[in-house]
Amino acid sequence: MGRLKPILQCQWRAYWRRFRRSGTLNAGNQGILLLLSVLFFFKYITALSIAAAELRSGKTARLERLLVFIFFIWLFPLITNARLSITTRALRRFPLTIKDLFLIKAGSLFIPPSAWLIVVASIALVYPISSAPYPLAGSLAALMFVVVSWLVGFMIAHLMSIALWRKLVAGSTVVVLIAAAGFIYMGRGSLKDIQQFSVLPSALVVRAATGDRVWLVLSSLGILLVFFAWAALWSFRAGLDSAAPSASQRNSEFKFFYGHLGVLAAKDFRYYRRMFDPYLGLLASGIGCFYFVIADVASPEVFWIFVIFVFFPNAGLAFNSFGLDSTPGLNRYRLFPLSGREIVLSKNQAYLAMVLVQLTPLFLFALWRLELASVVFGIIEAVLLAFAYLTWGNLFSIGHRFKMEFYRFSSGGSPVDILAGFIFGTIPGVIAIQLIVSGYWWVTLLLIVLYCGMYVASLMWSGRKFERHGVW
Amino acid sequence: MNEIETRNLTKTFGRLVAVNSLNLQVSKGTIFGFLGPNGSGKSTTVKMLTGLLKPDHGDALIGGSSILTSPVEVKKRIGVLPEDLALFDSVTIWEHLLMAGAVYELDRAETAKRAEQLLDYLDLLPSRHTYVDQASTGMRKKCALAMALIHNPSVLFLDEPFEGIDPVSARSIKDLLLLMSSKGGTVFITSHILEVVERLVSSFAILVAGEIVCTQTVEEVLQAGQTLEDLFFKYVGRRSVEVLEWVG
Repeated sequence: MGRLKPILQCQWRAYWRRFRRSGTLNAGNQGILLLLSVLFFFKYITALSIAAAELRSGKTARLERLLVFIFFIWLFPLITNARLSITTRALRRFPLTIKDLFLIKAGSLFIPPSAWLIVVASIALVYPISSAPYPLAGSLAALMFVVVSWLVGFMIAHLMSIALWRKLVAGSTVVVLIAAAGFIYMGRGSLKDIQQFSVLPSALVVRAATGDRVWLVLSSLGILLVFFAWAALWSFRAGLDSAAPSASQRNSEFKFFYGHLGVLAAKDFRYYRRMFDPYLGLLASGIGCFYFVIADVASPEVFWIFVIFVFFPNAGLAFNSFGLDSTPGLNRYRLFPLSGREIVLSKNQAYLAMVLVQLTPLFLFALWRLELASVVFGIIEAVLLAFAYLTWGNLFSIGHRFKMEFYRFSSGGSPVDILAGFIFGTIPGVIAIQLIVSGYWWVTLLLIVLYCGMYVASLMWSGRKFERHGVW
Repeated sequence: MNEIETRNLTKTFGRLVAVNSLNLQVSKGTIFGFLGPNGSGKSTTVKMLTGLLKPDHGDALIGGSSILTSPVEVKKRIGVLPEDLALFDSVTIWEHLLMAGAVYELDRAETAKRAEQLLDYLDLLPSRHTYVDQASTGMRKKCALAMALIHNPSVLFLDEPFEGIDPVSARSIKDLLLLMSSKGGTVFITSHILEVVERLVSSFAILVAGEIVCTQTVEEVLQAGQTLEDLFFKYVGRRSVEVLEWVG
């Protein structure tokens, strides 16, 4: 432990130095974030109280939902940007064993205050469980459940850094989704049936708390804990030893983009493809397509709402368009004989190409099931949304860049800015739907002019900012 | 005729004056060495001349165009091998060259032809489909050099071009620079390898603490019976190793 302590101390100091660095406090709107956290906790404590009251009367559904929430919230810091000041690869030069490195990584993940909040939220689960018939067994099971949740998140985060595992996880996700969709479509089940197949150990905690075969449940959780501890360590080692996938000439995006800005857009398209966010957009689009398959009478309103859903997960790419570029990469932009406007425009092109890929299947299915006019309105809505998201993104990408990592969900930056961006980006879509439904479709054309103007202004502004200050 | 001219070029970082009122002229068709110890301001100067950093005061003209008022014009004219190589992660060597060719408005066929010739000359052709972040330091440096050359610039800025390069490639690069200079191209090199600089450059300047302390031609140094190394240590000084007697 003596060897690990100074490294953890360095990580701690580096994290807080970065946090306190000039401008970070204001840019991150930490005060508002704290307020939101307090509000969230108030809501969470209320939910815990209700769960406790329900447990006293023998109802366990809310406790189980809270456990599922805790399971997913533990995934958040692990599969988003868990950026460390001293990376594990950098530490490999020191005489440290894999277990030492594992412990350093595990310890470092608890440095950000967001992790403390999750720890507190997890411990707070003991409060409703104390109202259960078997509080001690329930609390012990909850503790094991929390550790298992953390280990599962840790394992997923490291497996996602290995090309083969990414393909396996993606393949299995597609198979599971198709199977679930087929299950519902064939009329043999519903979403509720699928929930009963849940393999999450949250049900085990509830059983322990209610005294249903306590020793069997605790043993099962113990086995899960040992298994996932081994799996987390194994995935950590495999992630460290894995080589990045070699380049393939066949998959080169550069073949599909032309012009002096197209080549830069091709590079960013590749970068965006390596984030998880666009796959959520693709999933939204896929669900929209599935809706067109199963709906007796397809509704254009549902189609237009799906268009909004597709844009939603891509927001991180628009709002932080330089987030995947390294410092040398940013320098290359400044060496090229291009204006700032052209550089930002190339980023916008990559974003549009990415969104277009996600929207295409949805629009093709819409063409199959809806009238042409409804599809055209969908295109108008998509154009409006694209202008709005890019306008906000151009304004914030230059001055509020935060580093993102491949094979993670985009995260970081000020939650307030991101929330405001979501609202700004989504509003024109909602207004457009409202206008079309009310018969004032022609007003959407005026909206396009307005948002196009805002987009052009944001492009000019961000281009000038880039030329003057670069990205910071 | 001066191809590179700086006028009171100044850059400060907080209280540190990295480059102080630099006045420098480099003639067309020469290979110019810009020497100095670590932290003397060499890279900062190159960054200002190539558009990576904005000077606090002063200006510089490259081929008659100001870096402040016509930065895009200047960037079209120059090729740069920067200190950090400025390469994109997860992009192959070949794609970097395709990108550079397109940005400098060469057509695809011409870009591919030049890229192939350059990579072959620099012994990079077999590894052209390697991501630069998986390539060795030398390979990355040669990739950045090929990017700097693909549009046939009239001025080439090279920051430590021979560091991490194998002797065969170093020789190839030297031959290439001499060819470029013989055809009227101007080369601005920073390097710590004084023997190489002495054999390659025609004139040089020594920068210490952001100020030029010496500007001469190599011929003048040799005529005075000195070597570049003698002159360098005269201005920069040396540290005594005796304080590290515990080593070994």
